[in-house]
Amino acid sequence: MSLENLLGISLEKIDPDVSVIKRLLAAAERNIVDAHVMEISSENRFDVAYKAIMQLANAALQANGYRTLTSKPGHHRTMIQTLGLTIGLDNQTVIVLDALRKQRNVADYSGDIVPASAVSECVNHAESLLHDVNAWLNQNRPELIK
Amino acid sequence: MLTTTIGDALFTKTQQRVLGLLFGRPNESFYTNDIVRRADMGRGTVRRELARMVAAGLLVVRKEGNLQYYQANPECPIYMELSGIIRKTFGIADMVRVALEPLARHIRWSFIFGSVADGRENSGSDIDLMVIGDVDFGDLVKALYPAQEKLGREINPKIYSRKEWMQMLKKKDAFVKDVLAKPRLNVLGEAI
Repeated sequence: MSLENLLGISLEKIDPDVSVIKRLLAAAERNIVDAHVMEISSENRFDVAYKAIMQLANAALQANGYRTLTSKPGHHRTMIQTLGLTIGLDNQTVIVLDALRKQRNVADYSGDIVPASAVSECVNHAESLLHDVNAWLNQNRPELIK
Repeated sequence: MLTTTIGDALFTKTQQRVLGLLFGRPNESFYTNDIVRRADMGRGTVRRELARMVAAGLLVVRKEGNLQYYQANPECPIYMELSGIIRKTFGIADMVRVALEPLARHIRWSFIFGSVADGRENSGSDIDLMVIGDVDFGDLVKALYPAQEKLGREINPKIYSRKEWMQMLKKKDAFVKDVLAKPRLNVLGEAI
């Protein structure tokens, strides 16, 4: 599978926009800081960390010249599952990120307590993804983050 | 720990794999080579079992082109009972147990709850898995992934530390109360 193959199915082509990518990265950084605020519930810490993961995956996709098709469902899934193609993230990490996506769906609809194990996993992954996306941009598209 | 499981005492490995697949996904039919591949057993023994199970009315078979498609037979007089035995012994719970075995020392208690446990599931239902212990979320998800692929269903784990679980029990948390009041399929360990 390539990103090209997903055109019209879940992705469309765009010209990478420096200001959009910068905004997404800055938002992800803010959200990661918030994810460490211990005064809020584990649920909300999980949510902001997850949001950062989405923003980073989106930035990676846009830096490659694509975005998710707004007319199709499953944006989150697409953004996570294309991370292997956008920044070369290893498959095992993609599997875990996808499991975090499901955790969020379940928690949103069931109101169950988000376990501490899921919160710390989500925060750790947001942090390492921030690092990975920045490293990829520096290496491959430095003009987008100047 | 038991040295023999109920499933092993009652059925051969091939029978378990074939029944587990076809009764685990009763709304779908599978062609011979697909069953052989998923069962990961010898072609000869799988074909023999399929023929016997069709002859006994446990399965139905239909021809499409030169492929034979097998499916659980809901008209079989012991369909409900057999589904129950499979669910409680070597079905989904057993595959999940095998997947979790490498992490067993970090797990105090693990069970399947929700629609799969009470038999109301359809073939698309997610598998809700409770895990109580000090297991790492990432390790667990990675360990479960092959079983998820084999079952063709998503497994949704909920991992609580023993401390979190005890606190929820003490507070009579609505979610925990609900889970404990409903049917469960034990996977590893014992009730805390």
